[in-house]
This record gives sequence, structure tokens and C-alpha cells, in this order.
Amino acid sequence: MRLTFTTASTAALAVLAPVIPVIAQATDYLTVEQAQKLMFPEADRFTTENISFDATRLQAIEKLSGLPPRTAKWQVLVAHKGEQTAGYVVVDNVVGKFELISYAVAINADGSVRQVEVLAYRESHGYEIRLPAWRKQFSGKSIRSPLRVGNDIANISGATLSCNHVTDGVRRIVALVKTAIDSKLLA
Amino acid sequence: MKADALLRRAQPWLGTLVEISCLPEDPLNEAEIMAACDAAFAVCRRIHHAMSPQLPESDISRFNAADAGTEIHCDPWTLRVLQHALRLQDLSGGLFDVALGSSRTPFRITGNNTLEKTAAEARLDLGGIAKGFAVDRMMATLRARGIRSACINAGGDLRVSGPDSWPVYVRGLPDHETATLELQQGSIASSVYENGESPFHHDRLMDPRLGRCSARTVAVSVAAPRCLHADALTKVIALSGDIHHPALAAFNAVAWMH
Repeated sequence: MRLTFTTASTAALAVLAPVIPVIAQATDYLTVEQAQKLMFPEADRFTTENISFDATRLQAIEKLSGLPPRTAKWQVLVAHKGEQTAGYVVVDNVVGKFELISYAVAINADGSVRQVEVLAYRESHGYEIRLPAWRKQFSGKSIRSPLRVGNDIANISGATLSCNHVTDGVRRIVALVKTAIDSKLLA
Repeated sequence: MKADALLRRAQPWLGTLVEISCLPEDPLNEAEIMAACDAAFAVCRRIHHAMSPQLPESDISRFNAADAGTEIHCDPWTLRVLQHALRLQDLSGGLFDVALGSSRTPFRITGNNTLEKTAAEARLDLGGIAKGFAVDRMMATLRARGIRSACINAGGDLRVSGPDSWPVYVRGLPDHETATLELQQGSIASSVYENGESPFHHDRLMDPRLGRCSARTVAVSVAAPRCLHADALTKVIALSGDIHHPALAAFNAVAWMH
């Protein structure tokens, strides 16, 4: 293992002042098309169903999931293999206190969850980089150019999110797909 | 190393986001790399089923619900984690304790992948070590499929492989500094608590000596070759306040506070 602490040089930071570099993760993982092919590799085609749930069905979704349905209109991608339905894909976004997560849920024909893939992750507020006092704990450091932000790799340790919003979202999607199948809104 | 050169995927597991980044290298093609990632995420699924306290049928839930004297047949990985935990407990003077102080003799590992519950009040919680263990196992899975350079990040517990260094940003408390570093062939884990509670996850910093939560405000990071050690040792450093705790040396680890 090799570990090197890097820092902006004092001179470089003086040039940057008063703008303070900010790290906020913004990562795109997969497009919807990539995700649906990964989740249903056996499918030979996908079709789109636009579903609109009425009040009764929205109540059924809430009862099944234990969560408010959030919206009545959902788009469901149907994965087909020959004449059979292999399953369904639903894309959703969740907005947390600090992050926005776009994700896709693959549901098997029997209504069970096959896979969940995160499509994109955006942090809604960044962390400042200042001259860190903790560096005095260490001897030996290398001086690097000031950090770039945005599209660079953000491998981040510490103070990250929990996935409760996504877990809730998956549960809601399972419930809405089941309700749609039971109501014959989906084949 | 630029972001657009990497193949990256993320799935929700273990209560957080588990992210894999691979540097594509010959002779592997994209489909093979994706299949390797699938296999790595399957590791998370296995650990979830074996160790999650949220699944009533997991080894941990069945153990916690069982009476004293019950023998629980477990996934071999559960027992492996418990063996690591015992060693960490010993070397940390009891600061690391997967029984969280509930019992001094909570279990006995018997033969044939079986765990015997030896105290009725014993409760196990692998939250302080399972993510790090998962990351190590995922990295081994990628390596077995020919991926030499990768970064796996399970909600801030991360490990990198390959000949090159990976840039890592380490965050402490909100509105505090971010450390920036380069890591090669190693792991980093961080534990951040304000008044004993994580500002993001609602994890609590349990002090097994007190049998209840600590009220400390602390942000700790540990780097070690293996992620399971980095993960577990953050709790030892957070509770002891000692960045030179002797347990670190046993695992070739280094710690710092933010």
C-alpha cells in the first residue's frame, strides 16, 4: 500500500482566493439503454407502456408499499423475449437532502426484483477544500497543482449517503408494477 | 487517470451505494468487464442475505432471535467475519466488539459452518466490519476475472488495486476540510460522528465498554491494505481517540483525525 497526501501549494491557493475549490460528486454510470440491456440480456426488444393510475389503484399501491405513490403517471419499459414477457424496467429519481440519484429497477415477470442499477449520482452541495491543519500530524508531503472539480474522479471516503430513499423507491416500484399487472394495465 | 476512461457502475447494497470503477485493459472487452462487475455485486447480495439485520432469515437475525444453546448453520463468510472480529477485539482491548457489549461470551464457532449462541442476551451487529469485508471480497472477485486496476467504494469504505495511484478525497465533518490523497494498492475507511451520531446515515457510535452510544464528535479515517481492517479500526480510533493505537500496527494501518 502506498499513501501520499497531496495539497495545493500556498502560492497557488493565494491565486485562487477568494474562490475556494469545492468537491461535489457528479457521476454518470449508465444510460437507460445500457442498463436495460445489462438487466435483461436475454431480451430481443423493449416496448414502452405509459401507465396512468386512478385513485383506487394509487391507494392499492400505497397499501402494498407502505409509501405514498408520489405520482399517478409512470412509464414502464417491457422486456420481451420472443412472445414472452421477460420482465419490466422502471426508471426513477430520488432527491435526498444532499443528493439526487437516478436509478433503474428491473422486475421479473413474476413481480420480484431482478436488479437495481444506479444511472447517475449528483451531490447537491459540495465540500470545501481548505488548507488542512491536520497535515501537521504528518511529515513528508508532496506539493501538487490545485485540484480540479466536477468531472474528475471523485473517490470519496467519509460522510456519504445512506440508501434509504432508493430502497423506498424500489419498494414503491415493485408495488406499482404488481398493481399494474393485477389491473391488466400491463401484460 | 481520467474519469471518462473508466467503466463505472453502482448498485444500492449494505445500506449504502456500492460503486465499482474499472480501468479497461486488454485483453478484456466491455462485456467481460460488465460480467465481472455483476459477479462482484453478487458478493454484496450474498453478504446481504447472510449478515443483514433487516432480513429475518439472515444468519445474524436468526442468531439474535435464538435462545442460548441454539446452533445456527451459517454462510461460511459469516463465520470468517466473526473470526476476524475476534482477532480485532483481542488486539483492540475490546474496543472493537461485534456483540457491542451485550455479552462477554456471545458465541462459539463449532465445526461444519455452525455458530452456537452461548448467552441468551447476546446480540451481534456486523455493521462495523461487513462493508469492509464486502469490498475485499469484491476486489478478489474482480481480480479472479482478470481486472487489474479497479476502485471499489462502499459508502466511503474503499479499496483500490493496480499499478497506478487513485485520487481519493477524504471528508471529515460537514463544513470541515477535505483531505486529498493518492492511494495505491490499499484501502481507506472513514467514520464521522457528531455527538455520537453519523450526520448522514444515522449510524450510532456504540461504545461496548459502556453498553451504549458514545457522545463523541469525531471524524476518523484509517488506511490499511485490507478494507475490513480499515473499516473495523475506524471504530477503535473513534472510541479511543488515539491515532497511534497499538492495534493499527498489527494490521499495517495508519489513522488520522480530521
